Amino acid sequence: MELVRRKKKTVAEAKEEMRAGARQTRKILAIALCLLTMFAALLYSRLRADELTREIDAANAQLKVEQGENVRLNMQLDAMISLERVENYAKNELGMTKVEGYQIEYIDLSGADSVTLSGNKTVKPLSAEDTGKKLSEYLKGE
Amino acid sequence: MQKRPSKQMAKRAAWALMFLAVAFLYGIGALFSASIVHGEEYRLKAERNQLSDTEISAQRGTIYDSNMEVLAKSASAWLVYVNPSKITDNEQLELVVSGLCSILGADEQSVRNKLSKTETGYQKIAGEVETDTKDALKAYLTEHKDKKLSTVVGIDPDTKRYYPYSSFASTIIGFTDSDDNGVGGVEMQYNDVLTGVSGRVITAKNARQGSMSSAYETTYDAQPGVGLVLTIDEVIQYYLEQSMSQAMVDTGAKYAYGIVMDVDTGAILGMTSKPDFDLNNPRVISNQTVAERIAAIEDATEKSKETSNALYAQWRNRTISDTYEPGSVFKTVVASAALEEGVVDLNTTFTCTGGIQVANHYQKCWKPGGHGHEDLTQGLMNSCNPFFITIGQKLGKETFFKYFEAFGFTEKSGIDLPAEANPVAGKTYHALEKMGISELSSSSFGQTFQVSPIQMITAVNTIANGGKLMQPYVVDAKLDSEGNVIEKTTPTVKRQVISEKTASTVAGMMESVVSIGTGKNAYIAGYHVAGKTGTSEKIGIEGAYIASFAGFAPADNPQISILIAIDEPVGAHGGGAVAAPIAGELLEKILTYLNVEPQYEDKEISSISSVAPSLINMTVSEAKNAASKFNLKVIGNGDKVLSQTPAAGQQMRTGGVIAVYTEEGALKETAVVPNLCNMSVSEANRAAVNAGFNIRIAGNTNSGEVLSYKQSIAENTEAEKGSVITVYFKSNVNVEDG
Repeated sequence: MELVRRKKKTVAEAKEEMRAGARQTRKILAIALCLLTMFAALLYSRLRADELTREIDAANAQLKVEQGENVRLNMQLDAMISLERVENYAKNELGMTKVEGYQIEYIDLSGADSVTLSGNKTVKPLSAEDTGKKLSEYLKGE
Repeated sequence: MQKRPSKQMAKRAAWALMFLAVAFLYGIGALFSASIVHGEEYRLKAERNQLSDTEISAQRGTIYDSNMEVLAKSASAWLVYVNPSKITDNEQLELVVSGLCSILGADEQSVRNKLSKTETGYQKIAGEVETDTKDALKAYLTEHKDKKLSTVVGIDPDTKRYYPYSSFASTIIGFTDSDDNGVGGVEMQYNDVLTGVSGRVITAKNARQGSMSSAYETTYDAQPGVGLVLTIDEVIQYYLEQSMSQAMVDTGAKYAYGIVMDVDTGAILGMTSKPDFDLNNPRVISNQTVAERIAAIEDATEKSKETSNALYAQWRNRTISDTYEPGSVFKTVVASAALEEGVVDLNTTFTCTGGIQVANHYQKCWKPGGHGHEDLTQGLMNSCNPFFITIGQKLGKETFFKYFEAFGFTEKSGIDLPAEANPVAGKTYHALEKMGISELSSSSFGQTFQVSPIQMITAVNTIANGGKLMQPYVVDAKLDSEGNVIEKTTPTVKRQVISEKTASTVAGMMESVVSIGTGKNAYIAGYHVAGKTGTSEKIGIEGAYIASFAGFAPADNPQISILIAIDEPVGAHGGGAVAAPIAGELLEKILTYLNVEPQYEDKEISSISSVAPSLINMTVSEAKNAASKFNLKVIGNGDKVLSQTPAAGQQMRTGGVIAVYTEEGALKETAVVPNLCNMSVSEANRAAVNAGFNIRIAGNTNSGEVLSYKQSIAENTEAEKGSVITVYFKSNVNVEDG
C-alpha cells in the first residue's frame, strides 16, 4: 500500500538540490580546512615555543659558562694587579719609591668663620652710638 | 507468540552472570589494591618514571674587603668523571688514560686505579675544571669518537671558588672543599649564609626517558648566597703581611703574627699569621723546607700523618687559636686596675734592688742590680717586675681577678671566626680559688698564664678608647645578590672596664714607654705612639721566646691599635729589640695611608734636616749658589740644569749629594749602593755621601745610641746618584723587658 506519493522533481529542482548539496559540501570542507589550519597553527606555535625555550635554555647555559669565564679572567686580572705585584713592578721596573710622610703637605681649608654679603655691601663695624641705640630698642621690645 | 528462554539458556545465563560478577569483583579488588593499598608506592614509581628532577646549585656568596675589592668569588666550572663499567677494550682504556693525564694533568696511577673498578658506574677524576680544559677534553673525545670514549668519560657542571690574591688574608678568609663547604675562616663561620639555597627543575619525561616540552616543566629558582663585606682594609692587610713576612726572614722566627684593630669599633683592619698558604691550593704545603722533609719520608702512614700536621699548622690562625704568656704587655692591665682602684697613683714610688721575695721564692728582676728608685710611669717604662709584683699584691687576688675578668681574659673575645681558643680556669689561667701569693705575683708581670693575641689586643684597645671593652669582628656587612646591604654589623661595647680618666693616664704612661722606655724602637717622628713591649718564655721549650709589642696611635687621639708577636726569633728575642721596630715601621706606613697628619716637634724637624732646592732651568753657577749647603754633581756639558736627583722638595741631610743633568738624553750616572747597616747616623750619612747617595733617617732617632739595621735600597744595587736611601735606626740599649 502506498501511503505517500513521491512528488516528481523537475530538472531545475534536481539541479538546485544538487547545487545546494555541493554548497553544503564546500561549507563543510571550508570549515574542516579552517579547523585543520588552526590545529596546524597551534601545533606549530607549540613546537616553536618548545624550540625557543630550548634555545633560551641553551643560551642561558652558555651565558653561565661565559659568566664563569668572565669571573675567572677577572680574578686573573685582579691577581696580576695585586698590591704586591704593583709595588714590585714600580720599584724594580720603574725605579719608583713610595711616597714618604714628609712629602705630603697638609693644607688646612677649614679657615675661620667669615661673612659674605651679596652685591657691593660691606660690613660696617658698629659704632658706640649704634650699639647704644640697638640696646635701647631691644630693651623697649622694638 | 515469543518463545520463553529454556532452562538450559537460563542456566548458561546464570553462569555467565556469575563469571561476570567474579570478574567485576576481581577488578574492584585489583583497583582497590592498586590505588589504596599500593597507591603511594605506585605513585612514587610513576613519578620516578615520568619526572626528571635536576638540582640547580646556588651561586656561593662573594667575599669583599672593606673597599669592595673581591677576595673570593665562585664561578661555574666542570667535573670530569669516568664510568669504568663501560670500558670495552684495552685500546679504549689507554686512550682514556692518555687523554685524562695529558689534558687534566691527572696522576696516571690514580686514573688507572679508578678505571679498574669496573663494577662501578661513577668515579670522579677531577673537579673545578676550567672551561678551556673542558673544551680541550671534549675535542679529544670527539677526535676519538670511533672508540666511543664519551661513553666512558663524562662531564658534569661544577663550581670553582677563586681567590685572586693567593695567600692574602688566607687565615681570615678560609677556603672551600670539593663539596663547596667552608673550611676555616669566614668561609666556615658564615658557610650557611654564603651557601644559599639550591633550586630544582622538575620536567616530565617521555617513554624514551627524554625530557618533554617546557610546558611540562616547573622551575624553582636557586637563591644565591649572601655576600660578605669584611672589615679588612686591603692596604693595611698588605702592609701587615709584608711586615710579618719580612720579620720571619730578618729574625729567623718560627711564626709571626699580627693584628690591627680600629680603636673605636673593634673592627679588625688587618690580621695575619705567617707562614700561611695559597687559598687556591690549600693542600699544597707552602713551606718548602717542610715540604721537602715530608717528601723524603718513605713510610706512607708516617708521610700521611706529617702531611696532615703540616697542613693544619699552615691553616691555623694563631692570632685567635693559639695562646701565649703575654709577658710585660700585661703590665698595662695591672697598671689600669691599680689606678682605677686607687691603690697606686702616678706619684707612687718603688725602689727596685734587683728582686723581691715572694713566699719561698726570690723573684729576680730582668735587670741585674735593679732599676733603683722609680715612680709608676718609670716602672712601666723600665718594665720592672718587682714593682708590678708589689702592685699586684696591693690589689689583692680578688680585685686582680675582677679586672682580669673585666678585661676579657676569662672568656672568648667573641670574634666571628672559628676555632677561637677557649680560656679554661686552672689550665690557661689561675682560678681565683686556687690563686696564692705566688700565682698572683707572677700574674702581675704577665707570666704563668696564657692569653690569645686577640684577647690581648682587645684589652690594650680598651685603654685606647677610653676604657670600653669592644667585641672584635671581621664581617662588616652582608649583601644580597644585587649588592644591596641587607645587614650591617653594629659595634658592640661589652662593658666599661675602667674610667676614661684612668685610660687616659695609662695611655700617657704607654706613650712614655715608646718615647724613652723599652718601646723606644717603635718611635716614629711626627706621631705619638703609645705601647708596651713584652718578652715571654715559651712553656716547656727552653730558650724559646715570644717577642711582642702592643700599642696604639696616635696616642692623643687613638685610631688604630696593633699587636705584633714574633714567635721563636733566632738571636735577639726581646720585645723592644725585635717586635718594637717592626711595629714602628708598620704604624708609620698605616698612619700615612690613613692620612693622619704628622705633627713634628722642634727636635724632630732638626733631625729631618734640609730640603733639596729646585735647580731646574738655573745656570750651572746659579745652581751651585742655590745648592751651596749640598754636594752638587754636574753631569753633562750644557749651561742649564735640565733635571736633578733628588727632586726638589725631597728631604735630605745637609751636605748630601744632588746630581744635576745639563744635557738632553744624558745617561743617568749610577753607583753601587754601599752597606749602611750597623752604623750610627753620622757614619751612615758619610758612607752614603761618599758613594754619591743621600740618606733619610727613619725609626728611632730619639735615643742617644742608635744603630742602623735596614736600608730601603739593598747593598750592591745599582742606583742613580743622588738617590735618597731610607735608613732605619733602632736602639739596643735599655730595651729589654721581663
